[in-house]
Amino acid sequence: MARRKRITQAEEWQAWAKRYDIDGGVRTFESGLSVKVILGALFVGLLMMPGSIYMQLVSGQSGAGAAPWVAVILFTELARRSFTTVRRQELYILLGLAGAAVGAGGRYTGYIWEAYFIQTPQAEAFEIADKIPRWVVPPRDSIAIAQRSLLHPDWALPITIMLVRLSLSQLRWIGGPYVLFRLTADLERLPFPMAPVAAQGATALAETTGKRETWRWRVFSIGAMAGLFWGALYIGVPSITGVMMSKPIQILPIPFIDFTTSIEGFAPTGVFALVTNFGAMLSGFVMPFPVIITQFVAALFTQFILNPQILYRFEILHSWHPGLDVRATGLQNWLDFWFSFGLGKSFSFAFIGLAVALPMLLKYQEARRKEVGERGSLRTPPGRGDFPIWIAGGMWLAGMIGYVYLVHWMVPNFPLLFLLGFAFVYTPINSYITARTYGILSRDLFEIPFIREATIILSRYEDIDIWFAPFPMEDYGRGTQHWRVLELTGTTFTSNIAANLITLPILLISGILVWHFIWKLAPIPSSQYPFVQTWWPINATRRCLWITALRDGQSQMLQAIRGTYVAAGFGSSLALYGLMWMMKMPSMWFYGLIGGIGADPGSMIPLVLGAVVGRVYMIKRFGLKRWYMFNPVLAAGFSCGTGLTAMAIVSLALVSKSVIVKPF
Amino acid sequence: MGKVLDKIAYLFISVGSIGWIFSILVYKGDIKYQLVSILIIGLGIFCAHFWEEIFYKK
Repeated sequence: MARRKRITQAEEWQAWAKRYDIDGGVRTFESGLSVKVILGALFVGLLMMPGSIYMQLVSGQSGAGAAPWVAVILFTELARRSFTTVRRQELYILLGLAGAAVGAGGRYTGYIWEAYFIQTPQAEAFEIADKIPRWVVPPRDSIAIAQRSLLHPDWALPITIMLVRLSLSQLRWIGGPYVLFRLTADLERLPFPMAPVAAQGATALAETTGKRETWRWRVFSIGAMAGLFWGALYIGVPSITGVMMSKPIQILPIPFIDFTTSIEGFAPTGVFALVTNFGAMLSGFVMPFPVIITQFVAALFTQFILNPQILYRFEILHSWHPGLDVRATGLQNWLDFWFSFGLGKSFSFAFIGLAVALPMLLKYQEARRKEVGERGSLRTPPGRGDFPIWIAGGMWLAGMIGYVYLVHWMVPNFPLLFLLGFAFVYTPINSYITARTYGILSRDLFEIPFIREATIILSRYEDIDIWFAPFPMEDYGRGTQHWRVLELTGTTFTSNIAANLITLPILLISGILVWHFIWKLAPIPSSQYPFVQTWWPINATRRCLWITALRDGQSQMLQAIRGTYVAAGFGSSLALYGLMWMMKMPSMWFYGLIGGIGADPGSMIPLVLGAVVGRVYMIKRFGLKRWYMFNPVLAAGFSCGTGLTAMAIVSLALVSKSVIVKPF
Repeated sequence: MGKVLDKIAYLFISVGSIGWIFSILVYKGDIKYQLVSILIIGLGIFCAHFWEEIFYKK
């Protein structure tokens, strides 16, 4: 039998990244900023923002991915009819701005959640509701909450704090990632293997304004039609019937069909809830096949063997009793065992990330010394729109000092040393490690789980205000790749920064107006919004458990953290990783297995279907290379289709609920 | 050096994994034994990646 050949983790991940890397980059730079780009992005973004918010509440998916494509369709069609072409730089800026415009509503989601949380029976029962700081949400008896209005003076303090934070974050999030980009991409010349994939989108779209139509339009249209059909079935029917009837009709229950009580006879403590969002099949097309399959196998093993036959029999899962549904069973199992085990599992990810990243650091240092002419230079290509690195560093420093000051003002009794440590020690180190792993593997390998929660508990700070305050703990590593994509598309850095700053004020105002109007339509959560109605109460319970972790010495959350189980999660994950390394098995299998252990297999069915259809039929039909070229365009078309359906439905709902029926 | 590091990685991972299973089955998950095993496996994984990145040649 032939011996299995060893493939290093870096080689394995880069080989996957290459499958998606279709086009090369460019090295000449142009501004992507123009009035037509800004107007186009704002028009499409603001048009789709209500639909995106509505979808988020109904199905848990914002569909924000569709907006940039809608912007591009309109833009490129206008260009073609005007006998002109659109530059890739303009399209890349347009993609970013349209996405930001659709997502702008997200800034206000937290306020609706907090307004709900302060009124929950859970917050009342845990004696939290009356202690939530005024800078988070108006008091429970505020007229702003009773009338469901965001445009009430009671929101002035929370919104002012958000604006100050936003201004300071602009300084940090321009300066921080830029410094890291210069260090990792310019100085060390790390490859950033997935950056060409993002760049390829704009490059491909720019082609469509040429004389000849390419395959991309056909694939995009197929995806869009499938998305329209699915959107009408999954979101359309419940939303339209919800407008006309007291209880909406759901052809497929949202978000899942619960089989947990049906399996309890042969698999007590097992959960199985079939997720009905089959739009996730498209993610199954794109994601690596081994990860999805191993994840599914691990989840099946957990719910049908590990939970019922081992953990339940040995009374490790001791809180469960017959008749509990998926949410209650999941919560009990989580508190009994899986929370602790999951902590250990996540520590193993951080540990393995460190073990992979450290030798790479040494290797690249060595390579840099050997090739001084190619690496180790901070000189920038002409016309890229760079600015001195010390200015970027200064921006980050000023933004971070202001941020720490703001947090200290919000929670004056919390030890300042913790805030300073996170801001000026943890954040730079964590960001640099992530930037490096993104530069090499396009993945974040180093993440310490629950570090914020652990810090608060360890600080023995007992006031609950800290649980509502922001924490100066950030990771700019992921953002570093964005600068690399700008470089590959030949877009000047300054044009990207300017476009974002110009549109920001408009997006802030439109975001609050849209949320205000949607909140007025119906209480959130309510039967109109099945996704939030299902999950927000659970999230509220979990949050209460965290917040009260220290208060009475008998916290459910602290009791749920059991050292033995944390160690078991850590040890079993490391042992599995080590043994798989010894057997020269791909690391993807490990990430799949560990990702799936403890999870609900029902939530993965759409992904698995997508992966199997892709593998068994699509790759054979189209060939590997072409299928990977089709995938992003197909997925974009699908999200565009569902996004358009949601937009149409939300407009109907908004109109219908704005009509006041007179009795005469 | 590379060859030795490779062997050390195999040894540590094997011993650590057996030790961890032992700590679960025999010592009912006693945290001390688990942590010792984790330390040994962890050292093995570090050795494995140092060897893989620095010494391993195809």
